[in-house]
Amino acid sequence: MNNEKREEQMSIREMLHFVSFQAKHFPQVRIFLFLGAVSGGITAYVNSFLYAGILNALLTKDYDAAKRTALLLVGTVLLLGLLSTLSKFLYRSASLGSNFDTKGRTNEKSYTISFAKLEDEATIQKIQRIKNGENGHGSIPEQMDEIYQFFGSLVSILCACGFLILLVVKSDFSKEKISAFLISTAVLLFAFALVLRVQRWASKKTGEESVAMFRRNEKNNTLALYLTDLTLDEASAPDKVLYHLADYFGKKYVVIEKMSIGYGAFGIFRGKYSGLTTFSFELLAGVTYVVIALKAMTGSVSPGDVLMYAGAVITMMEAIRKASASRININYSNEYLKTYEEFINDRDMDYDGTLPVEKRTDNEYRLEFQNVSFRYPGAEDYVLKNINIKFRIGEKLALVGLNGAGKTTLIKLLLRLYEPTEGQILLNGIDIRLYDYREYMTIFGVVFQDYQLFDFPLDENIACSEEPDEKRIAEVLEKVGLTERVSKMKNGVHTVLSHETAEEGENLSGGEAQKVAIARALYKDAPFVILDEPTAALDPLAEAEIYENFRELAGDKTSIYISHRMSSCRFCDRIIVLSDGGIAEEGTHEELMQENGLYADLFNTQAQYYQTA
Amino acid sequence: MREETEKMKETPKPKRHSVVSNIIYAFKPVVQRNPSFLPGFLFEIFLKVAVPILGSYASARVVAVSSGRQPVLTVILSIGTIFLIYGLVNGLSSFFNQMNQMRYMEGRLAVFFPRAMQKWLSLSLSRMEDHAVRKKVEAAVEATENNDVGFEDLMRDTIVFAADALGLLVYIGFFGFLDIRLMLLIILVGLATAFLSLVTEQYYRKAMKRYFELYGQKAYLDRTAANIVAGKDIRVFDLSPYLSKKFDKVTKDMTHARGMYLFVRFLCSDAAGVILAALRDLVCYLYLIGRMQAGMSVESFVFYLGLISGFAAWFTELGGCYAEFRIDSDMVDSYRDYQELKADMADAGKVPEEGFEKISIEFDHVSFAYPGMEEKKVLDDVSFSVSAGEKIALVGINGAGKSTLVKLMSGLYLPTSGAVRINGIDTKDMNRRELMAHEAAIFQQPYLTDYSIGENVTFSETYEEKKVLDVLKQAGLSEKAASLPDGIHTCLGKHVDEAGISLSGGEAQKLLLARALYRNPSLVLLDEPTAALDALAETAVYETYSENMKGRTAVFISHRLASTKFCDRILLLSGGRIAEEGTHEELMQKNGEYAALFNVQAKYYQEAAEEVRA
Repeated sequence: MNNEKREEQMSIREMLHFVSFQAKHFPQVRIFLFLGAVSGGITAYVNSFLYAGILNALLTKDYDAAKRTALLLVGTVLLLGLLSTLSKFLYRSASLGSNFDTKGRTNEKSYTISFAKLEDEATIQKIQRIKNGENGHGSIPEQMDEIYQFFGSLVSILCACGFLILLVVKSDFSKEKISAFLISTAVLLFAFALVLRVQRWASKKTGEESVAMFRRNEKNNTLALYLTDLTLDEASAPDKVLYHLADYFGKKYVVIEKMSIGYGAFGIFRGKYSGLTTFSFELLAGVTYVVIALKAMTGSVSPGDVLMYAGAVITMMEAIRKASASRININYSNEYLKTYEEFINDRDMDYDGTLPVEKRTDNEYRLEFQNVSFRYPGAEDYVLKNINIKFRIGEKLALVGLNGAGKTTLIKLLLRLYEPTEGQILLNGIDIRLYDYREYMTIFGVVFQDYQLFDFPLDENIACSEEPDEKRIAEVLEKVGLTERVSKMKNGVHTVLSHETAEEGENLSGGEAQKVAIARALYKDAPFVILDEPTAALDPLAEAEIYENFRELAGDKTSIYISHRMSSCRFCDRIIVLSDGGIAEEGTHEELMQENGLYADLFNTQAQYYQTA
Repeated sequence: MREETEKMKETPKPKRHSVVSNIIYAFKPVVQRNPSFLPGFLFEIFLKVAVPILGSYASARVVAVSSGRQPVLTVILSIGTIFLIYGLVNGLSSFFNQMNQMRYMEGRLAVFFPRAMQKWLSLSLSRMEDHAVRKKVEAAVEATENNDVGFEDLMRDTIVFAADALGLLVYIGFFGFLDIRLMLLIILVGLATAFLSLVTEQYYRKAMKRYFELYGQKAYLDRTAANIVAGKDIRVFDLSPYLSKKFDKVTKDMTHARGMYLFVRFLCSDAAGVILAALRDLVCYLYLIGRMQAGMSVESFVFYLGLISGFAAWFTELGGCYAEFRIDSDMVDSYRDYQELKADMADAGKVPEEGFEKISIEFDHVSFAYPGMEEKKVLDDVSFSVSAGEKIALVGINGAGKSTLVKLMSGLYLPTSGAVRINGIDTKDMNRRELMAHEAAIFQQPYLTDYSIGENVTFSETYEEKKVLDVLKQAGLSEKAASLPDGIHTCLGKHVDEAGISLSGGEAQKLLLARALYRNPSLVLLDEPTAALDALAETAVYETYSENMKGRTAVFISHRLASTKFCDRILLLSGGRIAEEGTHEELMQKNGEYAALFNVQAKYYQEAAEEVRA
């Protein structure tokens, strides 16, 4: 992670751009920002100015003028206040939902980037960082508020400068007083500069430490989030109770305690700098008041104006302080946002193909592995070596082999979840990387070994859309033998799966869920069907049903069947045996049994238990 | 001691405690953990009050000095000293404020969050699976999750409230001489502002209730996006547009709810506040000017004006705090409610005289239905017994209740009626924790954490390496472990260690076997231990279990009826009852349901074999 880049400060242009970006549907947001900044920023000065007027009137015992000015003051502040709160409200409303927008797009991005990228640690870190940013200081509503505050402070500073110019202009330029004037101005500027230096130094230190601390705690943060998920995960509840993991996990929570102590220490650190800044600030205020009080005594400034001018200087200092603080916070948040932008703009895939896949009604899709070798990113050993397979159209192909032989890897390559390290995979003679990814995926229907179903209605799970075709759903449920079970569910085919997010949800047993996964693959009606251990969780009867109907289920589709149950090879046209990353044997069941090699060994090992004496 | 699984009724509201009670509940453990925090909190309160008073005084002095005629040095000294003191006080106030902000966070993270997690882990399985309980833990976690609401906010607001209240009292002392009517007006305006704040926050709760309901759904979608395993299905089935649509729907509603809140806040709180403040200020100005006409000094004018605005500011802040108190307090109520849940997990209870070295099981007319679904009995009047050291195969079609039966056997569930006896003692009266310490189970979904291999085997941070290596060898995983640079200290998965590896399905199963062996249990429960293994590995596993489970009671659930050959007896579960019982030969002879199941599977192997022989 390139950390040096992060120290850049967000420029004003960038801030405005950011604001517009977050409120895309409201181009008027900049107006709200402007109005809010101006009305918020000048309020203090208007107040000071008119207040000085009241004091001056009181000092000259003109009570009626004082009352009139008081009325004017209250009225003006009221109007400015209303304008300010209205602007803030509109400004905030304009950016409402942008936080979600960012999250939505982050989620979307994680669906579209290449699978290899998704599994990569750097990506995981990025996603984690963005997630952290959503909850903490980097959140978009906070960022927006900081920018709002920043601009308010800018206006304030400008006003103050105006006042000071006024002060200078009002000063007496007679000879005797000129030296006094020069000295006093010099003293003020010096004190000013000193305090500014102190402040800058303090906020830099705090900013740096802030970033460093959050980096340190990022790891702890991730761990803490992981621990929470681990603890609350539903599926593993039986294990947690049986193995009494309370004590074991309890020790893990130490990491959270460490993290919290880190925060505490940071608080003290930041407190010291903050205290120092405040202190120096008040000293400056003291100097300012002294200078201006002296001016009042020499008659350059009326006593009523003392508070006004001194107040202007103080307010300006305060505004500068706030602006710097906002800047730090914006920068810190900026880091998260830059991570987000980097992530969103990252290339999805290394080979962004654009070819559409021609839709054929005859299912004539020829897939071929040509000299494919593969090893996982960062691994030394090759999982697959020199694989050559021509998938015959309409063929039922069984892929067998010992654990770790590379069967699932082969499938992942076929599905472009990974790119071959060497060699190529061809669809109808063209390298699959040249095809548009989504187009390419349309030809596959898959049941993964670790398939996932989602906490949404059953029919939507099967159809993978919010508008399932009822008839097709019923057909497919019939094919996998779930019709009766579904009829007993709370909302029938619209029942939400799992309890997690819905009250009316229902949990399916392992076998039932597997049938749903098969149904999903069938519903897609893709020309190429891949089944990776699809009957692992099914009982013998259900399994037999799938086997019996397999020819019917698969139809004239090309299918690949991976299973450890050698019996499934019975209804396949061809069997490929993978061993040690390469193709060891190939042929029909009869041929391979004759060969008496690995396949025969696997088959007989299982069959032995079923031989009746 | 009867600990029955209580049926959770329709999410009853948590017990309401007073705000004061919750404040004490929040501060007590935090201060107990770090007594040095307390002076910090107290200082913040006092300094917060002192600062504005000093500030007002300083401004007033400056005006007095500038309207008088004094030597330059005196002016410099007098103003200089005031601001030096003021600077110190203000600086310290800043320091304590910043420090405490982080300390509230520290308290929340170090105390309440881990406690919530630990409570969860102490619950019985039935509790954990109870939907209503799940909602409680989510509410409790919410109170400990972030800075804006819940414990941290409660603590922060308490300090602010205390400072404001103290300030008000002090000011009232100063105001002694002012007209009582003015005081009343100020207080009235303050109350009105506070009331409006309250109204706004009440609305907040209503509007945000919907928001937080949806939050769970959004969180689920976020988790799905981060779920790498799901990533495969998402790509194959092009679920991206579908999931994004769901996300947009949910967040749209959430945005709407929040938008309504912002509007109400603007109207009732911010705008109304500005108007009320203007009213108050006008009256105050006119009154004080009147007083000046009657002879009050300018210095006093400035001083009292400062005090009044300070007073008003505090009152407003106080009101705001109070409104937030209720929200935060509600969250703490949820937390406390959750902490008061009965675990239902017996730590105390009877233990058989001979201990659990050997385990025998007896089901005596056991029936079971899940809480909330009483009409649907999963098991209906089941009776059988298993002697110590027996190997039982539990078969039956999907949904027959095999997993439920196994959970009852292990004491994870308690029967709805009838009794499950282990070594003669009813599980309802038993110290089930002690029982479980002598059990090992491999459930349908392999459970692995991202921590090291060693920890996954032993579920402990400290262990004997040799012992771990031994069981890994027995399980057939030692070669794999040796091939890793960090050996058994290598982490699985990426969350704990970026360099973590992932195990294949088969390797995972072997690790689970190692875990079972390490535990040296008297009762072993295996739910599909070979589902992901190839034929050779599968045989190896059956043989290993067979060898290593000598003398132990074992229950196998497996669809591969071949595994039943390793068992002494078979129980066939069908229609919630034990339909058939006996050895493999006996049941084949009977030619009932079991025989049918067996033949259905065998057919493919026999046909094939026959074909080959032909």
